Amino acid sequence: MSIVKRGNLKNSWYLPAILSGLGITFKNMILNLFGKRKMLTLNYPEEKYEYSPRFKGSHVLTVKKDGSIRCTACMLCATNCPADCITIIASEHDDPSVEKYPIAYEIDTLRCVYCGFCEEACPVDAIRMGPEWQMPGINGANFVHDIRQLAKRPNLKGGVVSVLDEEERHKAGI
Amino acid sequence: MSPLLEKWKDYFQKPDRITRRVFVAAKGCCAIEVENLIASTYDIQRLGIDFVQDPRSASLMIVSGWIDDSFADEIIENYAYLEQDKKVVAVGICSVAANIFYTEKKIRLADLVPVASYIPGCPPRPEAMIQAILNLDVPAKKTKKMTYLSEVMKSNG
Ligand code: SF4
Ligand code: SF4
Ligand code: SF4
Repeated sequence: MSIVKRGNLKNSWYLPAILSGLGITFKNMILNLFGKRKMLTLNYPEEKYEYSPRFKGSHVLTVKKDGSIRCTACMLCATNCPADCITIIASEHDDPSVEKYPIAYEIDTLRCVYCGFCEEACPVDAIRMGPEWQMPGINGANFVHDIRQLAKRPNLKGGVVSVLDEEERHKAGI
Repeated sequence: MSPLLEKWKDYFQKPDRITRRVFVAAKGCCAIEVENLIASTYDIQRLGIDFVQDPRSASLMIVSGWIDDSFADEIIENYAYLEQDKKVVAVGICSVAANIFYTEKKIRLADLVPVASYIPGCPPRPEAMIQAILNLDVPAKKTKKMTYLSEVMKSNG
C-alpha cells in the first residue's frame, strides 16, 4: 500500500473547511433560536409524531356494524405468520349465516415482528395493522393481547368498523 | 429564603426527571434505531439522559440484536460493571424472545441478566424506547395474573 501525498495548496489548508463547518453550525443555531416551529427536534412526551395511515403498528380486530367481531376463525393469518405468534380457538355460532367465530384470539407481541402478513392473508378484512406504535412494558406486564384489547381498547373509541358489507360478501361467495 | 434566592429559585430546584447515563450494547438492525435517540429528531439529552462509552459510569444498559455466545459474555461482563441501581432494557424481539424463527440456539436476554423493561417490535419506534426509559422510574402497577391460551395449548400438547 502506498501513501499518496497531494501537494495541493488548497488541501494543505484545513482552516477554510473548519470555518465552513462552523458556519453551518451557527446558521442552524440561529435558525433554531428564532424559528422555533421549524426546529427538527420533536419534544416527544409533549408532542407526538404523526405517522402515515399505512404505518404498521399494534393490531386491530375490526368489528361488524352490530359490534361483534368480524373474524371468521379461518386460521389463514395464523398459518401465514412467520413468528407463529397467533393463537385462535374457533367455535360454532348460533346464527346459521355465520359459519364460525373465534372464542379466543391471542397475539403474543413479544414474538410478533409487525410484518403485516396477517393483514395480507385475511380474506374478510378482519385484522389490520393499527396506527399506534407498539407499547413497551416493565417486566411482568401484559404482553399477550386478547380480543378485548385487540378490538375494543380505549384508543379505538368503540372499535374499527370495516367498510366491507356482510351481504355483499355473501353474494360474492367469500 | 433571601429575596435574591427567591428570584433565582427555579435554577436551584431539583429536576423533575431523573438523570440517567446509558451504556448501549446494541447490535443488529435495532442499533440504527437506538442511535436515532441521540440524533437531532429524538434528542434524548433534553430529557437528562445521555449515552456514555463506559459501563462503569452508567446505570442503565440498552441491549438489542441477536445474542450469540460472544455477545452473551460481553453482556454479562458489562452488567457486572454497571453502577448501583442496575437496570437493563431489552430492545427488539431478537433480544426479548431470541428470534422470530425457532432456531437451534436460543439465548434470550432474560436468561442472562434480570431485565427491567421489554420493548416489543422489530424494530421498535424511538418513541417506545424513550417511553420505556421514562417509565423505569414509575412504580409498577400490580397486574392480574392471567392464563394464556398459548400456554394452555402448549401444556396440553
Ligand atoms: S404482523 Fe407478522 S408476526 Fe405479527 S402477527 Fe401478523 S403475521 Fe405474525
Ligand atoms: S385470517 Fe382474518 S378471518 Fe381468518 S382467522 Fe385470521 S383474522 Fe380471522
Ligand atoms: S429485533 Fe428485528 S430489527 Fe431488531 S435486531 Fe432483531 S431482526 Fe433486527
